[in-house]
Amino acid sequence: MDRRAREVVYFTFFRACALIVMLSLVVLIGYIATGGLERLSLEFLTEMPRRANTEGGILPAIVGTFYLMLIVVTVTVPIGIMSAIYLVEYEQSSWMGRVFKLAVYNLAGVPSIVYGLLGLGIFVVYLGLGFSLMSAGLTLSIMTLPLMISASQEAISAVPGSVREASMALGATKWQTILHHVLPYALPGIFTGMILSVSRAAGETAPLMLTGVAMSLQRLPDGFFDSFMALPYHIYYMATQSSDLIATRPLQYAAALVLLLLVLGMNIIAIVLRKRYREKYKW
Amino acid sequence: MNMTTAIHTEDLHVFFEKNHALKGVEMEIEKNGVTSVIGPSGCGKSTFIRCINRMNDLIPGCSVKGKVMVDGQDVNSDDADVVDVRRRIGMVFQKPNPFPKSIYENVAYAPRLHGVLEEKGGKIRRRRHTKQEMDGIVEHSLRRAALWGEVKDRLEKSGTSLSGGQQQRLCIARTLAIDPEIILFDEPCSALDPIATAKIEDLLVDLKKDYTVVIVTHSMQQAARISDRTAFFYLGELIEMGNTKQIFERPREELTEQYITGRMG
Amino acid sequence: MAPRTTFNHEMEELGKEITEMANASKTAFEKAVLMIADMDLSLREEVRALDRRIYELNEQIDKHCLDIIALHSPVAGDLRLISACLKMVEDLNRFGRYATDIAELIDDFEDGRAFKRFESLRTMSCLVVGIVDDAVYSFLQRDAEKARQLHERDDAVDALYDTIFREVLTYMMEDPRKITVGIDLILVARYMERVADHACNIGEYVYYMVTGQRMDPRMRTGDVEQPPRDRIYEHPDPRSELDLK
Repeated sequence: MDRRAREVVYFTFFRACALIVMLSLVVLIGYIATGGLERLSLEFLTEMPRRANTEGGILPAIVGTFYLMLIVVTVTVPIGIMSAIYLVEYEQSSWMGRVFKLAVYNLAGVPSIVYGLLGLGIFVVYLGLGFSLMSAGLTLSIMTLPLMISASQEAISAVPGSVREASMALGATKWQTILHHVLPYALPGIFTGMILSVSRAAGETAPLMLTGVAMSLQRLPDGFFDSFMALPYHIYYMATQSSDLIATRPLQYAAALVLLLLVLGMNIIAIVLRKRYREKYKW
Repeated sequence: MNMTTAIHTEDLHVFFEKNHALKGVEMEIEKNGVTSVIGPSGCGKSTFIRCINRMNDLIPGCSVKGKVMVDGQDVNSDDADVVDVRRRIGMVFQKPNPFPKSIYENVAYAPRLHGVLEEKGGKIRRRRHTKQEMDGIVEHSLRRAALWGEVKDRLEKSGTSLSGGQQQRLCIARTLAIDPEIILFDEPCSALDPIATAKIEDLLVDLKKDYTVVIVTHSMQQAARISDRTAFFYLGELIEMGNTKQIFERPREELTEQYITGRMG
Repeated sequence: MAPRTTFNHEMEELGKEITEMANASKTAFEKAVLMIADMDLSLREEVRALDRRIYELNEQIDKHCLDIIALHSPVAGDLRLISACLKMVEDLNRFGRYATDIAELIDDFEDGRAFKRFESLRTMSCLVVGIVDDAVYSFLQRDAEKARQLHERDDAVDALYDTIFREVLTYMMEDPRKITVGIDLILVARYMERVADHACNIGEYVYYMVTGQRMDPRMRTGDVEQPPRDRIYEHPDPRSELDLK
């Protein structure tokens, strides 16, 4: 087969792969949307569940997931950025830096259930936080921290050394250079990292199960140390444990749709922020 | 050394790990003149000027030994204030590297960082610039860098939206904004086209009235065109230094003659 | 930086051209003097041919030097060589011109007795041929020392010219019919004296080319002692208003 024909074959193949991916996404969203759209109503979104989750709304789950995201962002973003700064700017080639990098990469691959067990042992039992939003949130944070650190580290490394040189040649200290130049220019990449981390955390079920997510609550959490509901678990519970699986199917899809929209919403916000910073610091 | 010496190095050595990059350099650089540093690639010229403003500190594994006397103080000593050194000795790099901020912000960054030194009631303290002062500094620096006319209507545009030559002049303005005594140029024109190069060369000759200019260049013609004194480096050593005319008409050292006539293989 | 092959080639070609011109000019003058000494008219064509060749080479070398300057930015030794070449070709050209002029005058000398009568003229011609020889030699061998010594001998040539002038004047006053020949004789002496001056100019260019120092101009008149020999490379000029433009 001559070169041009081969090129066409390869190109078609690659295109087909991409289309399959696109198709999967469309099918997924379509499936869930068609299954759950009918049950998506204002009432669904704002009311408490009734009758063992077979009626009513999923407000506590939505609020629970939201609070969990809040904890994850609050914990992972600062720690992630600062660890990444430390890695890139201060310990580039020393052995400690390399060990740290290795640890981060390995932690990223640990299964979520293991993190759940970790959370149970440390936060719930040892630190005495009990089954609460805080335990679950901290567990999720530790789970997503490696991801956040990696993404931030990539973003910070991507800032050209010439900028640092220019800044330091003007008499700025290392820290001033990081604060005024490196971090701002790395923000788009850091936001991307944030999107990835938070999206992942939003959908995890296993850690929640081990740190105290409730099946059904009639009220919203009362502070961060209270028990809570969360969307991922709610979907799991309804799909496997509810009293009437057939009847509640639409509810499951609706809940899944809500989770999807929630994650999408957060992604959009982060994308907007990223775009804004990209515009601000044009290379 | 006399009153017209801006920089004086004594027995300057630089090591990159095991590599002895600069060997015992003794050199005097005059005030208010253009001194060019020439030599084949890898001869240590960039390494040399980076010693003057302590930029070699940024390279891990690099150690600088010897004295670099500027205005009677050893810039290379351990208790020298590096931030102050870099305020007084500016540097412009080979590839223009403006910050991806606005033109105004590029120039205003350094003055804002260092603040204004003020004497009040017998004590010296630093304060922030007022908007007027800062505007004045930005305009003055851009004028001095021969860029004001081209950008005065678009100070808020990004520094990276300028052409290569303009970007380099912006980098020069940025350095001028903190009023250094000495400005170091590391092959400032190698990434530019001939017209932009000519503009920068004219600027350098103009700058020497108020500043001491040291320029590393791989173009001998450039060194010949604009510098008053020329230093020739080879394999980490200072081979010869003298008036540019003398170096290019009758160099003393055989190596120098070989290099400038292009017969150094 | 790779050696500049084109540039080196051009410099070599220039070297060959100027060598040819220098030799041609020297030969032309020698032949002209020989013509008068031996009354050998056959040499006249050779002298003329050489003069034409010298003129061609003058133009060629001129152009070649400018090309090199425009295209290759020569510095240091190369620059001094080119500067010397540009100036030398004018003086070498004069050798050829004077040689032709002397050769043209031969018709008036008839049997050459007049020439043989003036011993000083013969001495002068030997001396000048020697100076021309040494000037060309010093260039070809890049011998600054020899170049420097040319001026001393020029004084002897000038003195001889004065002597010949007085002698011929007496000769003409004795017999008015001898005036034509006499004037021609003075002209020949004059041409040779000029050739010696041009040869000394060449010496100055060679000295600068080799050492980078200019010879003291007062040496032309023989007033001043020679510069010290070991201070050939000296410290750079004091800076005044260096104008680089």
